[in-house]
Amino acid sequence: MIAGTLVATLLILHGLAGVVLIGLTTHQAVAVWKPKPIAAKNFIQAYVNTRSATYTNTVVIFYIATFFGGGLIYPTYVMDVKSTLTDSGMNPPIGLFELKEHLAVFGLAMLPSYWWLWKKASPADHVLARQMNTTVICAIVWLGFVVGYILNNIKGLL
Amino acid sequence: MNIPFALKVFAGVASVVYIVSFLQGYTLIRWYPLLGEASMEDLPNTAGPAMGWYSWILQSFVIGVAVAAVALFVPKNLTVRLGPTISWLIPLLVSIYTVYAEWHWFVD
Repeated sequence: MIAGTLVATLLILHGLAGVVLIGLTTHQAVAVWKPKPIAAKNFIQAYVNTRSATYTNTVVIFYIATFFGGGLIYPTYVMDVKSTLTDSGMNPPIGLFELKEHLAVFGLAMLPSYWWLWKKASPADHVLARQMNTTVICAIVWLGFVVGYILNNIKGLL
Repeated sequence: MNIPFALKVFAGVASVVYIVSFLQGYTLIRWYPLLGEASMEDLPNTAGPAMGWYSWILQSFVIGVAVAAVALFVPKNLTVRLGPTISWLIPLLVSIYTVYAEWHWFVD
């Protein structure tokens, strides 16, 4: 296992990268469902009117970095956090983390097609696939972030 | 070569292989964090908890790449309608099934 200070640093970086991913994927997922270009006359219209495709490479880079950062600190979770939760009989948080670890892999597997749909396919083609890829990845990022936040808080309280 | 179809096949196949590996316990290599060692054997309890996650990822991505390599050669006219859908529908369905499979944590 990695030493304590390094784990804490990686955990903070993992969380910060998750915040960036939340912002990127949410913005892109909201924008991808807009039916047609709209005038950006207020904050919400400007938010929806973003150039979604420009987010793609950054999403891929941050997703991979966040995933591998989480993979590095995962053994510490198993040895420290999960054992504490097990001893306390707190099964739901363990189940939430199980969902996070599985769904994060599915998101990783979707990244190549997600990237192709945004960067190589014509904007007029595969619209539903682009919308759904982006939305599913956004949902996975949200789940991962919220679960990590909950577990971090629980461990801080125990 | 049908690169778009191969990328979408990879998403579907890797997701399915991962969850099948997890549910069926197909774990090629286990990581023992207490020992700081990987082993292809199922070590006794004194070795501490075993982690299969890294192995399931490796297995799913190796098989996903292999199947995607075959998918490269599928004619494009056969994949126009099916191709884009499998990139998100299979991972989404697998995700929903995963929630079902892990539901016991929330009710037991």
